[in-house]
Amino acid sequence: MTEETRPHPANSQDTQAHSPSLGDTQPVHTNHPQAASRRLWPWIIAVLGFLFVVLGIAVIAGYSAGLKIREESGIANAAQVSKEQFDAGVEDFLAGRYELARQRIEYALKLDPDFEGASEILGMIMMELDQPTPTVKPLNSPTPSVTPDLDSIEGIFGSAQEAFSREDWDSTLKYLLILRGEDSDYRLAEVNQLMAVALRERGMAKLYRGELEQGVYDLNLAERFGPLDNQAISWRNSAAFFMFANSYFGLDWALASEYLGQICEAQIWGACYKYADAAKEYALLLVEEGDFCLASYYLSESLANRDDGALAPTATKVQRVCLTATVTPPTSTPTPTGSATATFPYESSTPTATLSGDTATPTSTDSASATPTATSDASPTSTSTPTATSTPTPTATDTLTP
Amino acid sequence: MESNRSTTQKHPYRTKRNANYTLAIRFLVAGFILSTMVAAIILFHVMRDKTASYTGMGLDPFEAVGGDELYQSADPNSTPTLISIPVQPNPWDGKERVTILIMGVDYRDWLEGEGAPRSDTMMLVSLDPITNQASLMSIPRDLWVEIPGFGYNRINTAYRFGESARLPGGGPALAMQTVEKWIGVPIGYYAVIDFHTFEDMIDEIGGIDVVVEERIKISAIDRHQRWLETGPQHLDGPDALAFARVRKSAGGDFGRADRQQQVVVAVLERLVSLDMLPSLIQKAPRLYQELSEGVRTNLSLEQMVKLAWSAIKLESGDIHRGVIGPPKMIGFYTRPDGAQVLRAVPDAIRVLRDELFVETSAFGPSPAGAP
Repeated sequence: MTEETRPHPANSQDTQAHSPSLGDTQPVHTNHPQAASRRLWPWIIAVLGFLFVVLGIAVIAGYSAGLKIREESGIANAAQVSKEQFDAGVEDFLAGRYELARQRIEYALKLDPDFEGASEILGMIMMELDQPTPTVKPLNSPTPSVTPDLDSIEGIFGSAQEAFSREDWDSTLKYLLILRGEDSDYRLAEVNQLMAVALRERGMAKLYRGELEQGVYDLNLAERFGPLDNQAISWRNSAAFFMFANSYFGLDWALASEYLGQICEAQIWGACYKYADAAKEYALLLVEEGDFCLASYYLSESLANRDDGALAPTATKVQRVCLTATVTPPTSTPTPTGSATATFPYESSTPTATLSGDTATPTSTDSASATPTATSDASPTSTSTPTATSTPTPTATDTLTP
Repeated sequence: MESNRSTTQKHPYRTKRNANYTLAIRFLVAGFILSTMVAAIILFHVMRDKTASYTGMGLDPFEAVGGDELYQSADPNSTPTLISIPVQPNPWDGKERVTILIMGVDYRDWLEGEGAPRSDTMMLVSLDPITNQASLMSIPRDLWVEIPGFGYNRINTAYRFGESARLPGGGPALAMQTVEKWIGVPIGYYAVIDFHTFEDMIDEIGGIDVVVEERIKISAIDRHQRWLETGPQHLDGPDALAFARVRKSAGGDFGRADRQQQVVVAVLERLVSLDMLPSLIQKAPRLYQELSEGVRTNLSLEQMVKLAWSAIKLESGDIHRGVIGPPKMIGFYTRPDGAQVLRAVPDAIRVLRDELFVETSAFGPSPAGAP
């Protein structure tokens, strides 16, 4: 009972003192105010308890019901979304938008790893993209088996070491950051070493996965701790060169072809596909400019790196025009059976040679030697630009000891 | 005791009064139980609905028009529907570096039936709570980049493509993915701010103070054009937006990016100088609700408050600013279709990136983490 609610002895005396008439006519009741108050309190507590219990039950029941609804609607929403993304992914796949299709199907699989037919479609997409089929992890991935101890500095450090031994670089770096936030001087040398190695390894892993700028970023962070090893530097340079080459894509086909061609030799990061696209676009530009032989070279390069059924006829025609324009005209003019002027959409260009179907191929004295080859003057001139010198191999790994 | 009982029995008035009293008590108890039950039922429903509708994070208010020219033509008569798949970021513990892609959009375009908008402004804001360093990097909207799944295009079209194609996470997710792939910095969060909401936010803090470096003509929405003279100026919401958006100045788009960063810093200074944050935090739930009209973000209210507390601890020297601009970082190109775009020079941009994000990171040998 609190001080405020307890009846004051003086007050009770006053009450008696100020009711003399009552005292005269009636017997004095034994229910003294103090006793009444004492009887009232259990009731107040009971009422409050009742209120607390009933409203508490309502809150808990409401919360549980809400959670259940949320869970159910989440499942329903996920099912709807995964179906929608799957359908759109199939549509994209059929339309040849493979990258977009991949994103959608992977997302559908993340929401529902057992989505019927999704894995098969993803495999087909990956075949089109010529990449290994990835293992898609569900969005709600299980937590690591070891529960990290983050209550003490020593525990955090232990968790970081444990994650490091599992080669879980993300977790290692996360714990080390927590540690650094708690006590920046704690085991400084060891923490720095763990950070450097984890950053280096994560950076390399990203480069292997084709996340180039992200990988370079991690390696640059790792470099703050000390010089990188040669392998990491080599990969980083190659990634930087790829990004440099890629920056010309769609803007300068000549330079894009030249640089992507260099990276294509290493056959990494899908450079050959990009090279095929760039070479094709550059070739078409060259055809417009009338440089058929160089165009023919780039078209053949494009076809060598990407199977493009639609491009093959154009390449054949361009090659013929190139041959016609370069070989000595035959003495006897072939009789055209079904005269077909070069029909590809670059007719405004200068060559006047007419083609006459398959039967009237101009005879070349040495058809093999007439095949255009990339000569030094055919390649676009390179200015002071970085070159992909030592191309790394994706399989080799080594470790950094900072 | 015995005498008391006999006394009571002897007085009918007292018996009647007691009966009335008992009846009143019964009514009172019944009323109390009834009202408790009603309150419990109401509480149950409120709690259930709140829990069911709580997403734990983010505001997602915009109603996206379904599709555009890419996949299907938008039907202006159709009811806008939103397929919202929040991109779940890792929960921010307040210690890890947090990087937010801020995008400004003009939703009037959308209302006028011009399809999903392009992002008018893109700025990467990063805060490292361990080193207590912040970085602002402005990204020009005409930058020519690879947009995952959509080939190459201007960077400001990523938002539009993501919305139009109804990709998981929509425009913000694709914009984040594009920028992260291009710049390499992990981006966990986004905030898409509608122009009108931006004006309201500035007005809520009583305007901002900026130093105008060159005489500039601004044209606030629904206001007459006017000149802003050089020197310190106090700007209200509409003027601050106009100041941040105007392109007709010596620096063009790049001067504009610089002014946008000036506005961000001015907002921060305003919050710190007037010690406004506590009062704003008190009003946070209401503001959060109001902001939901024009802000789309995957930051929760709690994360915003944490972020704000970290941000006001910054000194002016802790904020590093950079604008991707000429002459070293970009090249001007005209595409065959006549479109003028900017080519990124990766090596030069990497230098700026490292200065802003690598050098200020807690991943470094120095325990204090200071660059």
